[in-house]
Amino acid sequence: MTALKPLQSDEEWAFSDSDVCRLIRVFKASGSRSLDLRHLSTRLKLKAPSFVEYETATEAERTTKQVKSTGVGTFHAIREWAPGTSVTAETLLGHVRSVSRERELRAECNGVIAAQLVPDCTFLAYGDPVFEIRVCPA
Amino acid sequence: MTALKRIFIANRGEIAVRVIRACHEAGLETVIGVSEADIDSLPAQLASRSICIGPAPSWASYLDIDAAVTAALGTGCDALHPGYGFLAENADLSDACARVGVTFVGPKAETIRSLGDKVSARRLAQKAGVPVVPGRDNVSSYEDALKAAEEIGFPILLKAAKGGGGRGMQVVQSADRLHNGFDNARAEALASFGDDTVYIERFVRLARHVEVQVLGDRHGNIIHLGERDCTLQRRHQKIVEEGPACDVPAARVEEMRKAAVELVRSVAYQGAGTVEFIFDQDRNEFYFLEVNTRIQVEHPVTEMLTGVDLVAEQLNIATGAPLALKQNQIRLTGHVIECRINAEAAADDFRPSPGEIIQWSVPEGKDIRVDTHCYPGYIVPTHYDSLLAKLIVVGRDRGDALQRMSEALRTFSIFGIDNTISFLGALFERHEVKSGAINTRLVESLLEDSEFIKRLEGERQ
Repeated sequence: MTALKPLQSDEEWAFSDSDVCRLIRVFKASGSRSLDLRHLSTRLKLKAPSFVEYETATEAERTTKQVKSTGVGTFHAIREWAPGTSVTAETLLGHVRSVSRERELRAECNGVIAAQLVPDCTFLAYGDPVFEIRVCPA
Repeated sequence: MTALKRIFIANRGEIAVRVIRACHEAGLETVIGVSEADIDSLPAQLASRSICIGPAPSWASYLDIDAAVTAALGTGCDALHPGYGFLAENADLSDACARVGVTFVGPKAETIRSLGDKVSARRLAQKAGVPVVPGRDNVSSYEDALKAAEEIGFPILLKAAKGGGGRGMQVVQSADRLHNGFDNARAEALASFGDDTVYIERFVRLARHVEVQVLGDRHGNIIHLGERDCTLQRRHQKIVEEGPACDVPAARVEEMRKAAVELVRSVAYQGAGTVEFIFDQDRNEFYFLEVNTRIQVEHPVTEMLTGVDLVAEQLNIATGAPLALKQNQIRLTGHVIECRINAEAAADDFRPSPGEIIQWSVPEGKDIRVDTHCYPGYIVPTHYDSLLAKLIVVGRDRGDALQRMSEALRTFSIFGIDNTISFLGALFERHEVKSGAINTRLVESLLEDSEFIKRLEGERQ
C-alpha cells in the first residue's frame, strides 16, 4: 500500500479530484475492506462493496431471526400473523403436523413479526424457514 | 398390481445411491429423506428430489418412522424403500406405511416381526425342518442359563433375542465365567435393543458363515439365487463376502439352499431376504442363524453371479407382479468377491476416521464394480457407519477372483482419511485366505499375529 505524505495543517487537506481518484485506486489495489481517513474536520470513508454487504448482513442477522420448522410435516398457523405483531419467546405461532405428531413452533425470541414466509398448510422439510421476527433489544 | 411412480428412499450412503439408480433405470422418480448432515450428499444430488427430515443424529432422522412416512406422503411417493440398517427391519415402519397407503418395499410387518425376533425365528426354522444350533430360547435366569449350558456343552454363545447384525453376543468358555457373561449379555441386550431377553446357543469353534439369497412374491412363488460365503468377519461384522461357497461340501450347500426356501415359504415371504447359516467345519453340519428381511450390504455378489438385479426385483415384487424368474433359470457363473472398504484405521484398532476425502480414485474394468456414495471433497460425517465403498470383482474361478481383487485393491486409492484398503490387501496375501481355510474367527486371530500387525503398521508409515 502506498504511504501518504503526512499533512502539516488543515489547509493541506485539500483533495483535488485527481487525489481522490488516486486514493480510490490505491485503496482498491490494497485489498483493504475499508478506509476511514480523518483529519480535523475532514473525513474520507471508503468501503469495498463486499464489505458493505458483510456489514449489512451482520446487522440484519443481529436484528432478525428466522423461526424454522422443527420437523417434517404440514404447517398450521395458530392464527393470522400480521407483520408488526408483537411476540415473546413463548408465543406459540403454530404447529407442524406429521402423520403421528404435532410439533409446536414457538417464536423463541421477543420481537415483532416481520413476515410469515410460507402460507398455511404448506408442507415443510425440517429446517425450512417459516417466520421472520425482528428481534427487540433486551 | 400397483403401478409405482415415485419411491421414497429412507436411507443414506451407498445403498441410497444403489436404490436411486435402480429406480431411475425403471423409470421411477425418487425422493430421498436426508438428515442435515447429508443435505449435500451424493444420493441427495442424484435423487429427483431430496427433503431434509431431521438433524444429523440417526435417532432424530434416519430412525424416525414418523419423519420417513410423513416425508414420503408429503412428497407424493407411492412406495418407500428402506435400504438396509436403520429402519429396514423395523416392522413398525412397514405397518406405518400400510396405514397411510404407501407401499413398503419389503415383507409384511407380521413377517418382519416373526423373523426379526431371533427366538421366534429359531422356532419357525425348527417347524420348517431347518436344523438350528443346539440351544435354549428365553433364558430368564442365571440358573436357567447354567442348566441349558450344561446340556448343550461349553463353550456357549449368549445372544440378544431382539439383536442382529452380529451385535449383542457373548461367548462364554466355561461354567465359572457364565454368571458374569449372563449379566453382561442381558445388560448389553437392554442397552442396544431395549429388551434384555437372551437365548443360548452352542458356540461353533470352526464356523463358516454361509447365507442364501431368496426372493418371494405375493403369489407364493419363492426362489433362491444361490449362496454367499461371508466367513471373513471382525467382531461379527462382515469384511469380505464371496460366492459361490466353494469351500463348503456341495451337498451341504444344496441342503442349505433347500432349507432357506422351505423356511421362507413357510411364512409366505414377500420381497428380498437372506437366510443365514453357520456351517460347523468340525462336524460337517449346518445350523440356522437368522433371516434378514431386507436387501443385504453384500447383495452385489449375488447380482454379479446371477445377472439378476435384486433391487429391481424388489420393486417388481412391491407392485404385486409375480416373479419373472423360475428356479431353473438361476445360474451362478464364475466367482465373485466383495470387500467392504471402511473409513477406519485398521492399525489403530479400527478407529473410525471421518473427515474430508482429498483424493478418491477407484479401480475400473469390465469385471470390477464399485458401489459407493463417496467422491473427492466428500466429508465423511461422524454420525453414521464407516462404510465408504464396496469393491466387487468377478473372476473365472476363485483363484482368478482373488488375483483380480488384489490388483483392484492396489489401484484403489483414498487420501485424506484412514481406510481399510491396506488391511484388506494384507488379508488377501494370507495363505489361509488364498486356500480358503478360513473361519469366522480368523481375522481376530490375525490381528493378534505380530507378523500381520507389522504388515499393517508398515503400511501406516
